[in-house]
Amino acid sequence: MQTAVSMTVATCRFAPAAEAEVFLCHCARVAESVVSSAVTLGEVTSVEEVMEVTGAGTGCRACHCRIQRVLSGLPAKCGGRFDWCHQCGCIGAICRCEAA
Amino acid sequence: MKGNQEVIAALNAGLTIELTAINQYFICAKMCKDWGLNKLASHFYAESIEEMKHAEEVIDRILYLDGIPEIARYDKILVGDNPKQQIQDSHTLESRGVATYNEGVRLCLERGDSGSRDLMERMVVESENSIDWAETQLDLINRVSLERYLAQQIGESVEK
Repeated sequence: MQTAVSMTVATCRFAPAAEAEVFLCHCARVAESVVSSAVTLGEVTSVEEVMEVTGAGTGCRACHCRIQRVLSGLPAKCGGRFDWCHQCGCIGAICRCEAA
Repeated sequence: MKGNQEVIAALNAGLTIELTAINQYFICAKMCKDWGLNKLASHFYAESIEEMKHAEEVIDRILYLDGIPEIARYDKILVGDNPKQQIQDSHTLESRGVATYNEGVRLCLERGDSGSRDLMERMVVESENSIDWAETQLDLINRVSLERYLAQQIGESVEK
Protein backbone atom coordinates (compact mmCIF):
# COMPACT_ATOMS: atom_id res chain seq x y z
CA MET A 1 0.00 0.00 0.00
CA GLN A 2 1.32 3.45 -0.89
CA THR A 3 1.80 5.94 1.90
CA ALA A 4 1.32 9.69 1.86
CA VAL A 5 5.04 10.29 2.20
CA SER A 6 5.96 7.99 -0.66
CA MET A 7 3.59 9.85 -2.95
CA THR A 8 4.72 13.42 -2.27
CA VAL A 9 6.20 15.49 -5.07
CA ALA A 10 9.91 15.90 -5.57
CA THR A 11 9.83 19.62 -4.78
CA CYS A 12 8.67 19.05 -1.22
CA ARG A 13 11.18 18.98 1.60
CA PHE A 14 9.68 15.68 2.80
CA ALA A 15 9.64 14.07 -0.61
CA PRO A 16 11.74 11.17 -1.82
CA ALA A 17 12.82 11.04 -5.48
CA ALA A 18 9.92 11.11 -7.91
CA GLU A 19 8.74 7.74 -9.17
CA ALA A 20 8.55 7.39 -12.91
CA GLU A 21 6.98 3.91 -12.90
CA VAL A 22 3.32 3.67 -13.81
CA PHE A 23 1.56 0.98 -11.87
CA LEU A 24 -1.08 -1.33 -13.23
CA CYS A 25 -1.75 -2.46 -9.65
CA HIS A 26 -1.47 0.39 -7.15
CA CYS A 27 -1.87 -1.81 -4.05
CA ALA A 28 1.04 -4.16 -4.80
CA ARG A 29 2.88 -1.51 -6.87
CA VAL A 30 3.25 -3.76 -9.91
CA ALA A 31 3.97 -2.10 -13.26
CA GLU A 32 2.12 -2.98 -16.45
CA SER A 33 5.46 -4.03 -18.00
CA VAL A 34 5.89 -6.74 -15.34
CA VAL A 35 2.49 -8.25 -16.10
CA SER A 36 2.87 -8.01 -19.88
CA SER A 37 6.32 -9.67 -19.67
CA ALA A 38 4.84 -12.57 -17.72
CA VAL A 39 2.11 -12.88 -20.35
CA THR A 40 4.61 -12.76 -23.24
CA LEU A 41 6.82 -15.41 -21.60
CA GLY A 42 3.76 -17.65 -21.22
CA GLU A 43 4.08 -17.76 -17.44
CA VAL A 44 0.49 -16.65 -16.88
CA THR A 45 -2.78 -17.18 -18.70
CA SER A 46 -5.37 -16.08 -16.11
CA VAL A 47 -5.94 -13.35 -13.52
CA GLU A 48 -5.33 -15.90 -10.75
CA GLU A 49 -1.95 -16.84 -12.23
CA VAL A 50 -1.02 -13.17 -12.62
CA MET A 51 -1.85 -12.69 -8.93
CA GLU A 52 0.29 -15.67 -7.96
CA VAL A 53 3.30 -14.90 -10.18
CA THR A 54 3.46 -11.06 -10.08
CA GLY A 55 1.46 -10.12 -6.99
CA ALA A 56 -0.68 -7.74 -9.08
CA GLY A 57 -4.38 -7.84 -8.25
CA THR A 58 -3.93 -9.18 -4.72
CA GLY A 59 -5.14 -5.99 -3.03
CA CYS A 60 -8.35 -4.04 -3.70
CA ARG A 61 -9.07 -5.93 -6.98
CA ALA A 62 -9.81 -2.73 -8.92
CA CYS A 63 -7.06 -3.61 -11.41
CA HIS A 64 -8.50 -7.01 -12.40
CA CYS A 65 -10.12 -5.48 -15.48
CA ARG A 66 -6.71 -4.05 -16.49
CA ILE A 67 -5.02 -7.42 -15.93
CA GLN A 68 -7.69 -9.02 -18.10
CA ARG A 69 -6.93 -6.54 -20.87
CA VAL A 70 -3.19 -7.26 -20.74
CA LEU A 71 -3.94 -11.02 -20.83
CA SER A 72 -5.96 -10.37 -24.00
CA GLY A 73 -2.96 -8.62 -25.60
CA LEU A 74 -4.36 -5.11 -25.11
CA PRO A 75 -2.87 -2.15 -23.22
CA ALA A 76 -3.99 -1.92 -19.58
CA LYS A 77 -5.65 1.42 -20.28
CA CYS A 78 -8.91 1.15 -22.17
CA GLY A 79 -8.48 4.59 -23.77
CA GLY A 80 -11.72 5.95 -22.33
CA ARG A 81 -12.44 9.52 -21.23
CA PHE A 82 -11.81 8.59 -17.61
CA ASP A 83 -8.52 6.75 -17.98
CA TRP A 84 -6.13 8.17 -15.41
CA CYS A 85 -3.02 9.95 -16.70
CA HIS A 86 -0.23 9.41 -14.17
CA GLN A 87 1.88 12.10 -15.78
CA CYS A 88 -0.38 15.04 -15.01
CA GLY A 89 -2.95 13.51 -12.66
CA CYS A 90 -5.89 14.21 -14.95
CA ILE A 91 -8.50 12.07 -16.61
CA GLY A 92 -8.09 11.44 -20.34
CA ALA A 93 -10.86 13.85 -21.27
CA ILE A 94 -9.05 16.87 -19.83
CA CYS A 95 -5.44 15.67 -20.07
CA ARG A 96 -3.28 17.86 -22.31
CA CYS A 97 0.14 16.49 -21.42
CA GLU A 98 2.62 14.68 -23.66
CA ALA A 99 1.93 11.31 -22.03
CA ALA A 100 -1.66 11.29 -23.25
CA MET B 1 -27.43 -2.54 -9.44
CA LYS B 2 -25.18 -3.03 -12.46
CA GLY B 3 -23.91 0.39 -13.47
CA ASN B 4 -22.36 1.74 -16.64
CA GLN B 5 -18.62 0.98 -16.70
CA GLU B 6 -17.70 4.45 -17.91
CA VAL B 7 -19.72 6.08 -15.12
CA ILE B 8 -17.93 3.83 -12.62
CA ALA B 9 -14.59 4.93 -14.14
CA ALA B 10 -15.69 8.57 -13.77
CA LEU B 11 -16.62 8.00 -10.12
CA ASN B 12 -13.26 6.31 -9.56
CA ALA B 13 -11.49 9.33 -11.09
CA GLY B 14 -13.34 11.51 -8.58
CA LEU B 15 -12.45 9.09 -5.79
CA THR B 16 -8.74 9.39 -6.66
CA ILE B 17 -8.99 13.16 -6.16
CA GLU B 18 -10.89 12.78 -2.86
CA LEU B 19 -8.33 10.31 -1.48
CA THR B 20 -5.48 12.57 -2.56
CA ALA B 21 -7.21 15.57 -0.96
CA ILE B 22 -7.68 13.77 2.39
CA ASN B 23 -3.91 13.27 2.65
CA GLN B 24 -2.91 16.64 1.22
CA TYR B 25 -5.15 18.64 3.55
CA PHE B 26 -4.18 16.48 6.51
CA ILE B 27 -0.44 17.08 6.17
CA CYS B 28 -1.08 20.80 5.55
CA ALA B 29 -3.12 20.93 8.79
CA LYS B 30 -0.37 19.25 10.75
CA MET B 31 2.37 21.48 9.28
CA CYS B 32 0.35 24.65 9.97
CA LYS B 33 -0.25 23.51 13.53
CA ASP B 34 3.47 22.90 13.90
CA TRP B 35 4.12 26.46 12.65
CA GLY B 36 1.59 27.82 15.19
CA LEU B 37 -0.87 28.87 12.48
CA ASN B 38 -3.80 27.38 14.36
CA LYS B 39 -6.65 28.97 12.41
CA LEU B 40 -5.22 27.83 9.10
CA ALA B 41 -4.55 24.39 10.62
CA SER B 42 -8.20 24.12 11.71
CA HIS B 43 -9.36 24.99 8.22
CA PHE B 44 -7.15 22.37 6.55
CA TYR B 45 -8.14 19.78 9.15
CA ALA B 46 -11.86 20.40 8.51
CA GLU B 47 -11.25 20.15 4.77
CA SER B 48 -9.49 16.80 5.22
CA ILE B 49 -12.45 15.39 7.16
CA GLU B 50 -14.85 16.81 4.56
CA GLU B 51 -12.93 15.06 1.77
CA MET B 52 -13.21 11.80 3.70
CA LYS B 53 -17.00 12.21 3.75
CA HIS B 54 -16.94 12.88 0.02
CA ALA B 55 -14.85 9.74 -0.54
CA GLU B 56 -17.39 7.78 1.50
CA GLU B 57 -20.26 8.99 -0.70
CA VAL B 58 -18.37 8.18 -3.90
CA ILE B 59 -17.38 4.70 -2.65
CA ASP B 60 -21.00 3.99 -1.63
CA ARG B 61 -22.17 4.96 -5.10
CA ILE B 62 -19.54 2.82 -6.87
CA LEU B 63 -20.51 -0.19 -4.75
CA TYR B 64 -24.20 0.47 -5.45
CA LEU B 65 -23.37 0.34 -9.17
CA ASP B 66 -21.53 -2.99 -8.63
CA GLY B 67 -18.17 -1.40 -9.40
CA ILE B 68 -14.88 -1.76 -7.56
CA PRO B 69 -13.61 1.39 -5.80
CA GLU B 70 -10.00 2.27 -6.73
CA ILE B 71 -8.94 2.87 -3.15
CA ALA B 72 -5.19 2.53 -3.72
CA ARG B 73 -4.81 5.03 -6.56
CA TYR B 74 -3.63 8.52 -5.66
CA ASP B 75 -2.57 11.61 -7.53
CA LYS B 76 0.61 13.44 -6.48
CA ILE B 77 0.17 14.84 -3.00
CA LEU B 78 1.38 18.42 -3.14
CA VAL B 79 2.98 19.43 0.14
CA GLY B 80 3.96 23.08 0.02
CA ASP B 81 6.71 24.08 2.43
CA ASN B 82 5.03 27.40 3.26
CA PRO B 83 1.39 28.41 3.91
CA LYS B 84 0.95 30.41 0.71
CA GLN B 85 2.16 27.47 -1.39
CA GLN B 86 -0.20 25.16 0.50
CA ILE B 87 -3.14 27.42 -0.35
CA GLN B 88 -2.07 27.52 -4.01
CA ASP B 89 -1.77 23.72 -4.01
CA SER B 90 -5.29 23.45 -2.58
CA HIS B 91 -6.50 25.62 -5.46
CA THR B 92 -4.74 23.33 -7.98
CA LEU B 93 -6.23 20.20 -6.44
CA GLU B 94 -9.78 21.54 -6.22
CA SER B 95 -9.64 22.92 -9.78
CA ARG B 96 -8.73 19.44 -10.98
CA GLY B 97 -11.67 18.11 -8.99
CA VAL B 98 -14.09 20.54 -10.64
CA ALA B 99 -12.83 19.63 -14.14
CA THR B 100 -13.04 15.90 -13.41
CA TYR B 101 -16.53 15.98 -11.88
CA ASN B 102 -17.84 18.32 -14.59
CA GLU B 103 -16.71 15.80 -17.19
CA GLY B 104 -18.42 13.10 -15.12
CA VAL B 105 -21.66 15.11 -15.03
CA ARG B 106 -21.60 15.34 -18.84
CA LEU B 107 -21.16 11.57 -19.08
CA CYS B 108 -23.99 10.90 -16.61
CA LEU B 109 -26.33 13.06 -18.68
CA GLU B 110 -25.41 11.02 -21.78
CA ARG B 111 -25.94 7.73 -19.93
CA GLY B 112 -29.06 8.82 -18.07
CA ASP B 113 -27.58 8.16 -14.63
CA SER B 114 -29.28 10.88 -12.57
CA GLY B 115 -28.11 9.54 -9.20
CA SER B 116 -24.42 9.71 -10.10
CA ARG B 117 -24.97 13.06 -11.82
CA ASP B 118 -26.55 14.49 -8.66
CA LEU B 119 -23.62 13.29 -6.55
CA MET B 120 -21.02 14.71 -8.95
CA GLU B 121 -22.84 18.03 -9.24
CA ARG B 122 -22.74 18.39 -5.46
CA MET B 123 -19.01 17.58 -5.51
CA VAL B 124 -18.47 20.30 -8.13
CA VAL B 125 -20.15 22.87 -5.87
CA GLU B 126 -18.13 21.73 -2.83
CA SER B 127 -14.89 22.02 -4.80
CA GLU B 128 -15.88 25.43 -6.13
CA ASN B 129 -16.44 26.61 -2.55
CA SER B 130 -12.93 25.44 -1.68
CA ILE B 131 -11.55 27.22 -4.75
CA ASP B 132 -13.35 30.38 -3.65
CA TRP B 133 -11.78 30.11 -0.18
CA ALA B 134 -8.30 29.66 -1.66
CA GLU B 135 -8.72 32.62 -4.02
CA THR B 136 -9.94 34.80 -1.14
CA GLN B 137 -6.88 33.90 0.95
CA LEU B 138 -4.47 34.59 -1.92
CA ASP B 139 -6.21 37.91 -2.56
CA LEU B 140 -5.96 38.79 1.14
CA ILE B 141 -2.24 37.99 1.10
CA ASN B 142 -1.79 40.35 -1.84
CA ARG B 143 -3.81 43.10 -0.15
CA VAL B 144 -2.46 43.02 3.41
CA SER B 145 0.93 41.28 2.89
CA LEU B 146 1.87 37.74 3.86
CA GLU B 147 3.13 38.75 7.32
CA ARG B 148 -0.14 40.43 8.31
CA TYR B 149 -2.16 37.57 6.88
CA LEU B 150 -0.16 34.99 8.85
CA ALA B 151 -0.51 37.05 12.03
CA GLN B 152 -4.28 36.64 11.66
CA GLN B 153 -3.90 32.86 11.28
CA ILE B 154 -2.20 32.29 14.63
CA GLY B 155 -5.50 32.11 16.52
CA GLU B 156 -5.96 29.90 19.55
CA SER B 157 -4.52 26.43 19.80
CA VAL B 158 -7.11 23.70 19.44
CA GLU B 159 -5.74 20.29 20.33
CA LYS B 160 -6.33 17.77 17.55
